[in-house]
Amino acid sequence: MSAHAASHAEHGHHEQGFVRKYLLSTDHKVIGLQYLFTGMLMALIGGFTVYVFRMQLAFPGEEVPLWGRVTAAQYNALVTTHGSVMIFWVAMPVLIAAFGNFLIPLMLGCDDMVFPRLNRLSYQLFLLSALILIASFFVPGGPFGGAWTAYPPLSADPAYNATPWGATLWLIAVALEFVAFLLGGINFITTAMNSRAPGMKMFDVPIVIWMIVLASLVFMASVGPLIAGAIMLLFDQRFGTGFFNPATGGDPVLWQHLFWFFGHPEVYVVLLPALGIVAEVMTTFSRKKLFAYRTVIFTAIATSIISFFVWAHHQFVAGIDPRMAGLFTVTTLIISVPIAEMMFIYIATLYGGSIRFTTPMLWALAFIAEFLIGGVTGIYLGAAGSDVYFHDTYFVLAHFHYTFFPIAFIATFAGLTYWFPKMFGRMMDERLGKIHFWGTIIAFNVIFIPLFLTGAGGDHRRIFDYSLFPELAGLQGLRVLATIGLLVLIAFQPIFIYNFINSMFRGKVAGANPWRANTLEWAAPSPPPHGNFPEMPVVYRGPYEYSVEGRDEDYWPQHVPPDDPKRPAEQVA
Amino acid sequence: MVFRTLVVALALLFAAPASALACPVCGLAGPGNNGWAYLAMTLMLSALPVGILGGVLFWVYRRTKEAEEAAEAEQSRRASAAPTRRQAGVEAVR
Amino acid sequence: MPMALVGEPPKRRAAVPSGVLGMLLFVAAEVMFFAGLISAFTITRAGAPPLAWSLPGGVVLPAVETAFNSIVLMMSGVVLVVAHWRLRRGEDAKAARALLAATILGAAFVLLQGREWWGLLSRGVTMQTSTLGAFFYLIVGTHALHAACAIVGLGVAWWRLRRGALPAGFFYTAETFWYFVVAIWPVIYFRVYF
Repeated sequence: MSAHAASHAEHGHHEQGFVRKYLLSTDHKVIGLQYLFTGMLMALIGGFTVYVFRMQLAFPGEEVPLWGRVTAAQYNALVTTHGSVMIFWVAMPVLIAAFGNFLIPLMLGCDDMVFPRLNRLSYQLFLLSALILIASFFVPGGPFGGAWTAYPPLSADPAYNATPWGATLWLIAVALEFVAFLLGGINFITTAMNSRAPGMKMFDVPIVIWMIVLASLVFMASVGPLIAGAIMLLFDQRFGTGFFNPATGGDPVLWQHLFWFFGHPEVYVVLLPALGIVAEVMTTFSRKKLFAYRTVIFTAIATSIISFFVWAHHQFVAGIDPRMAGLFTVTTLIISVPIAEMMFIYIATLYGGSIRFTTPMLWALAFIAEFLIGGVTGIYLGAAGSDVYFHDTYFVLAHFHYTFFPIAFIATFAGLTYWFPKMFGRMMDERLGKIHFWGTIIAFNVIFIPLFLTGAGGDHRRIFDYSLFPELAGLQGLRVLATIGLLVLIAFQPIFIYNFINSMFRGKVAGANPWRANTLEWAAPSPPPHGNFPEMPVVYRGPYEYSVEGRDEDYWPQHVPPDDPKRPAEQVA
Repeated sequence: MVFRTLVVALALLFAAPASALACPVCGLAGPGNNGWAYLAMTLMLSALPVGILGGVLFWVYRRTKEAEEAAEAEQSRRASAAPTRRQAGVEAVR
Repeated sequence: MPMALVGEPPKRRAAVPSGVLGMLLFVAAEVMFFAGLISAFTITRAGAPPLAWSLPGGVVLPAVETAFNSIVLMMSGVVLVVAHWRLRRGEDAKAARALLAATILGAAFVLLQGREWWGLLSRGVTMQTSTLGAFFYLIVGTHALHAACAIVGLGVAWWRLRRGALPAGFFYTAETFWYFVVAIWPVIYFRVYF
């Protein structure tokens, strides 16, 4: 064998090593980071599309830098892509899959998921779905232009949506993605049931794990009808069936029935992990026990159950039976009770604590403040009477973004900045983190408060060019203001990206437990090696024993044995 | 007074909902004859997850509790029998 | 009690085998999938104009023939229960025979259903000619696909049992899925064929 061939073989072997380690890994941390980075890259696509169509709304008919003139069909495709990417390829993978995969085995004190190969398959399916969605940008007709809710007949007939291939690829991508999260969810729940560290009882499990598990349960129970509907829609698009076509005895409203059965629980699927992340960050930086740990769990369980009884409020103007509208108004207003309760619990956790305003803590506090605005404006939309007026206006859009932006970005930033030292073994820069925080939060409010006003003023949300509606011309100033807010928001994001990448390689080296936190992941080295713990931890107490009286330290990790066997954890707490 | 208002409100809700159709365009098409089907299937879909997952989780919860109780009984028996093996137990787990 | 906690930490244990728990959760999601199909069928049927809800050319769905197929499927489920008992009692050879019988009965169901499809297709009933036909092929076809996957699982279990290398978890997981396939069928049969 020649020297050249030998070095080539060595090179090939090295390549395989990289592939094995980073692409075909069954290690939960690698899979979690794969989900995280894929989600962050998809967020760039979602962010770019919103930039283009907001520019069109503020300056209709003008050239948009980096894009050009926006046509009506392109506008539809951009809005659809923004919505579906941000919900299905950013919020879901980052909040559930990335944090779930990274945190569940670490916080439960085990070496990996119960089904590691299923976990890898889950990520591969997810990556495939993302690639299919990206591929739809390059097919004739461009990406799907039938809105992320894909109502037929718009989505079923290429004559209406003008995107014959984009529509089909979109459906396949969404269905694949759901299968991926189904596999991931089964893994999360089974792991949480069967792989807890010795001594860890159900009520010693950190809130964020409870929340991710509950969210996975809600997802699994709600996704079936949508997959059924997606298959029917696929047949309508490609095989000439008429499931949603009234001319052949089909029913177009049926799609809404199947879609929203999943669509509304989906809100809680992403909300619960966000609430969990906030709970972890808040207790650590309040140096205080989480107020009413068990109540949080029971409240979350109640929310999960009620979340199956609210979905028809999306159909108040779809011609549903008014008796049903009455019922769903009541359930929709009821579900705000447990959520409000959770907000009060978090505020009570802050009360009397010694609060540290680190970057993650700022994000967690902002989550409470911003999500409250989203929750309160939801009341107007949950009541059938007022919803008839607000339906399909920018008021709905602003409400939705006041719930989803805190969930998908504020809580994610809280979680990322909090667990960054664990993920990469280095600290992020606090000063840059705070600049990024204030820029993002202020810009976010500048975007969406004007949109509440335009919505109440009558702006319908599916309009491509408002200059065609002279009676709405007075609202143009607010639309421009919202777009300026968006530009500022986007301008602040490179700070985060720089801080993230720079800190990965050049940040201050973090110890195993830089925040002096209690939960088990901080018992592992940062970043945790394959297998996580040098020796498997044993749990002696609940996750939130901060500032316990009679101890020198203000924290008491779950895995540290009680100092004095005569004074075990139960008596001191 | 409150009671009477409630009765009237409920009577209105259940007796005369057709005229309160929220969708003005749907009135033109006439009330569909699948209203009951939507109502029934909505209730079925909403109740099913609670039933199924409730059942599965209750079963798992019961088995977990049984296993935990059995383990605790085992432990206290062993702890009272041989308290000096405390350290050995920790080693075994490792 | 706290003393014991300090001294001898409880071991990591699984109250329910991971495979079975995972499969139960998957089955829960599958039940919701079929519930979505059934609810779509019910709503469309209730809302369709009377004439639109029929197969072309006066063809009627073969409910009687399918009743026989259904009995074959139910028997397969019962035989699998027998296999379970025998396996629990350690009678591996007998259990393998019952497991094989259950697998063959299940495969017979799928083949009989396929013959029925062949007859309908040859009489011009396709997914495009009527919405009832479209729903029929969608729902029954989805069930048949699940049945085929489960039969492969049972077959693998039989093969491994014969070679004496069947992990209990694998058998229980495949078994759980087959019970689901068997149990969901009567619901589909009475909803779609009548």
